[in-house]
Amino acid sequence: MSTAGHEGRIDYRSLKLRVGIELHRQLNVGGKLFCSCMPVREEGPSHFTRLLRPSESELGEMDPAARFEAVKGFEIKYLYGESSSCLVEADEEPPHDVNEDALKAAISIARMLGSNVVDEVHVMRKMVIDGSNTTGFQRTMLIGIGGQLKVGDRTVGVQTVTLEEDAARIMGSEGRVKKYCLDRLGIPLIEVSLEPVEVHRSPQEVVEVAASLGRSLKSTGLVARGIGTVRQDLNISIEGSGIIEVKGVQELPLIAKIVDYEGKRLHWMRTVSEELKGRGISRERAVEGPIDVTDVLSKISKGFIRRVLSSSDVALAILARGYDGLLGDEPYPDVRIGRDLATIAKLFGLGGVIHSDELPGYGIEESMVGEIRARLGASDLDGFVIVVGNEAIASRTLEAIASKLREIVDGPPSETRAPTSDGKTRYLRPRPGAARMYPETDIPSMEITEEMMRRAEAIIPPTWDEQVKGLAGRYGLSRKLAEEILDSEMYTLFEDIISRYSVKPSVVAATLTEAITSIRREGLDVGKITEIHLKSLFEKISSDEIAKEAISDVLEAIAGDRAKTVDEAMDVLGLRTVSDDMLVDIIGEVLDANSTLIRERGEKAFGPLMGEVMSKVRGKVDGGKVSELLREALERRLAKT
Amino acid sequence: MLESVKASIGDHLLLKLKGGLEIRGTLMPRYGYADDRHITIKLGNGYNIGILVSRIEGVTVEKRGTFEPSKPSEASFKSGGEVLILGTGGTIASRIDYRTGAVTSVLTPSELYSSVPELGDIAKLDTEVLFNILSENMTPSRWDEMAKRVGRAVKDGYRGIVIAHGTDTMHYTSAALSFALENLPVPVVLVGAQRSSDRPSSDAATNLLGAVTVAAMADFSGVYIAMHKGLSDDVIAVHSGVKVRKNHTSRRDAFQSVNSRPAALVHLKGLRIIKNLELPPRRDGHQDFSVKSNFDERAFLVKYFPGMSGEIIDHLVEIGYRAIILEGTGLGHVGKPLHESIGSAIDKGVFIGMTSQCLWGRVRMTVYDTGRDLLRMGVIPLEDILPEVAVVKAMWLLGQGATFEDMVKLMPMNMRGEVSGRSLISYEHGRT
Ligand SMILES: [Zn+2]
Repeated sequence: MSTAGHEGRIDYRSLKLRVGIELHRQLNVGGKLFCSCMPVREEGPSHFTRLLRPSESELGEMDPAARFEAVKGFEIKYLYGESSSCLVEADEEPPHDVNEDALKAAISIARMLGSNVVDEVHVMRKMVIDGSNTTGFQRTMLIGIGGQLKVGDRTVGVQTVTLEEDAARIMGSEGRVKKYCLDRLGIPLIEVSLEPVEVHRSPQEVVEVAASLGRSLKSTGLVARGIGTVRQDLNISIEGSGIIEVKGVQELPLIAKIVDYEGKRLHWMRTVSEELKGRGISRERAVEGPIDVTDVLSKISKGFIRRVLSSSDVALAILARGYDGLLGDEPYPDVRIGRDLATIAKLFGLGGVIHSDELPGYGIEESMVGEIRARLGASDLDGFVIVVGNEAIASRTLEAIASKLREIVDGPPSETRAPTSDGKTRYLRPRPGAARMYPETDIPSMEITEEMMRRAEAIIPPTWDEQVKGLAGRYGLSRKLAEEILDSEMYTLFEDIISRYSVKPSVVAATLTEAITSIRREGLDVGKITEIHLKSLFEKISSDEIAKEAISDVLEAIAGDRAKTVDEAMDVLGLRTVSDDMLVDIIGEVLDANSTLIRERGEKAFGPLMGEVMSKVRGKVDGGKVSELLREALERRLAKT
Repeated sequence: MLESVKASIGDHLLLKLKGGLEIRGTLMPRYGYADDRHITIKLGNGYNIGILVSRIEGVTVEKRGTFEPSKPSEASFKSGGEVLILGTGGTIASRIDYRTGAVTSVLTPSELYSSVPELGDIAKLDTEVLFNILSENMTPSRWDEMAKRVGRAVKDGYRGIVIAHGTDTMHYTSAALSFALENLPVPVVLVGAQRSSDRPSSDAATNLLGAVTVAAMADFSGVYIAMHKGLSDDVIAVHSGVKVRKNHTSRRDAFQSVNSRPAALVHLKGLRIIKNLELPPRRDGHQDFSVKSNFDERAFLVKYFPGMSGEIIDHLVEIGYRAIILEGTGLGHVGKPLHESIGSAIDKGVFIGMTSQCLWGRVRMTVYDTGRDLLRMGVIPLEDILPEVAVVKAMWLLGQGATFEDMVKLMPMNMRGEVSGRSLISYEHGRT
């Protein structure tokens, strides 16, 4: 297959690229949705481990996403602490009544978006068995249907407004054990799903819609701010494709890149599907096998396959009919079927896959390729995929890969994908069907009374404009800066910092918005800059340890991985040294503050004064120099009096 | 309105609401105590919502539902298996049918194997739904029925019997079966679930694995309860049927051995059974095995509290009760106002036994005057028997024709492990 002509830009309009946004934001109503725990960050110290098994849903079918997670067979380790988790999070106690403030906030938001609030709310269980919920499902309830959002001259329809519980926070995995922290589980989330937006000229259009929805939610004052309090899911499709659900995009700027990448990826998958049909391949005939090829691969003398196979593992292969050349082709950067197949293998805990388009290679010689092809009965147009590992895991992995290869024949398949930090996506699991919802029988349905509607509608926030003006006036910020900080995830942090430290609000606001944005533009990882860093930075500014001129340098040092803490950044940047002029100033301040002591004790005041000056400059300037300059200054003071 | 278009559960409807909103969805059943002013609709996205009937202006049935009534479960399945699983109801053995709201059994072998495929690796299973009741509706006549069914199963040669049971009264049933099955040659394991089997986090599968492992492979016999040892899905504790209690309303590890350590543990990784106590061995023959399953319900359990009067005792005697188990305070005491009634009950031939509401520890009525007074009246101290076990034992002894004198002799005597001769300093340090 030629890849020429695929490079670079694509025509979104002719692809009929459509993107539906689901915005999830934590509600800032204190407490969790189904218990009285506090939404505080807490990692451990205790833990328990669980296994999840999918159950039949209400409609009696096993959900494809659930099945996929189940056959992976992971064990899940949950870390918990006492403030943020109780038996409800541990799935050891039935849920309590729904948090009324959260319900009220959800109704207010639904009304603000012009949504029809349901007469009676039913809590549902949405099957999620990747371990992120101890129950194996997420509790969620539909609050509003319909509505609209104005974005510039476009009106975007609102599909639904739902209230749900946040999932546990993933902490990584060790072997076949996944680790989650329970602190985030159960925090109330509002989810707004918008009608799909057609991309005309640029994916930036999608970013604008998401930003606008974000602003309207933030304007209510009911949602939480901060990193991790907001996540966007994107439902992306092109003509002839299934729907790709990209889960959990945290930053707005990534959205444009992801939409562009998915547009290209779906375009390629559609091209592959057409090519397969052209080669006469049907879904049913697309895959054969698996067969055991351990004996062929054990002839390899060196390399990773040799190392893996020396243990008790096996090599299994499937025939990918019609796929020759299509597994390894990469028409756009990182758009390649082989990449997705490797991701599936990794999800099963294996290292990756070997496919025919990359052979000979990995120590597999031409003759071995021929032998494998012969055994699989492969024609010139066929490809094959090999996985190496524990027999049971390898065969389950190949089952998942086979079903993916079959699906592609009928067009780009629906699936759930995860965003990567560079604005691409990777395969996560099949897209769950409607089958995954069933009623939460532990909680009775709740009637939304007129009284509740009145109370919810009484929460009418000032308009965005009024809020910006108020903020600008209160803290002496420019209108532009006030709007930027109000729109920022850092807004709560901003309020927190100016209430704690004596620093100019405009300096804090500019740091949290403009300074961080320009560091991101330089290509540094601003994700490395945490709230702890920022608080520590402003603490040092308020105690004059760091001049505000050094703010960008300190943050760049952290984002650029040259320092892990603000203190380290000060060392790296040489901010510890105190110039002679600064030292003279400091000495002058100390003498001013101690005039009584100096009057009473004369030259004998030197000792305590020396101690005080040293406490301010220790580590930054030589003690001998301090002693010399202090003695001179003290003598001048005494001479004056 | 719905009746006029003959809408029934499962139909796809188009509803026109006041104000112009149109809603498409499937008509769903109303659960539990839901009111009748709303109807429940499942939308295309899977969510259920309630719609106020008075807001509906028009209904069209777009498509008739294709719901088939849920099939009744196979009542029994036989294939010459090694382990018999008996269903009696409760969380573990049932699942709500979300289409009809009905509770259905999930104890068919195909359902068991599909939800817990590992079971097939342990033993060949036969299953039978004995009855399907909530555990709070359990009665002594059901114990009788269960004991007889187990008796036949033992004689049929099963290696072990697993009884799926609701958890609320599972420890009463385990005590009842312990007494009713004399010289039991194989393990009989009761098992339940604290999380229903329709949720992915259910403990039903892991508890069942533990129970079937013991029934098929343990080298000991007797009646046991198999449930989670802790919050993790890794170890199943196997409690002696007469030394166990449900000690928590909702946790997976609600069942705990009291005045004993768990008889054994099953590590789910590798399905290893580790014994913690000396247990009666599994035996091949069943010549001396007998089922003595008659229970006389005229036994009563009274929990004493400050301020209780003796009238309740008088009344129990009056209406014909023949044994009263007191759940006294501390070492085995009840307040003075009850003493006269207790004395007169004993004079009338009613057995009165003393247990402690402390649950942990042994009654000892010679330490304080109150205890000595009660002893002198003829109250029998029941050692470290749990109150629930004592009342079941009293029903059983009465059912076996015990006289007052037999009761006085047999109630405090160890028959099935319900009385321990020694109270250990710690029960924590069993093998793990
Ligand atoms: Zn909680």
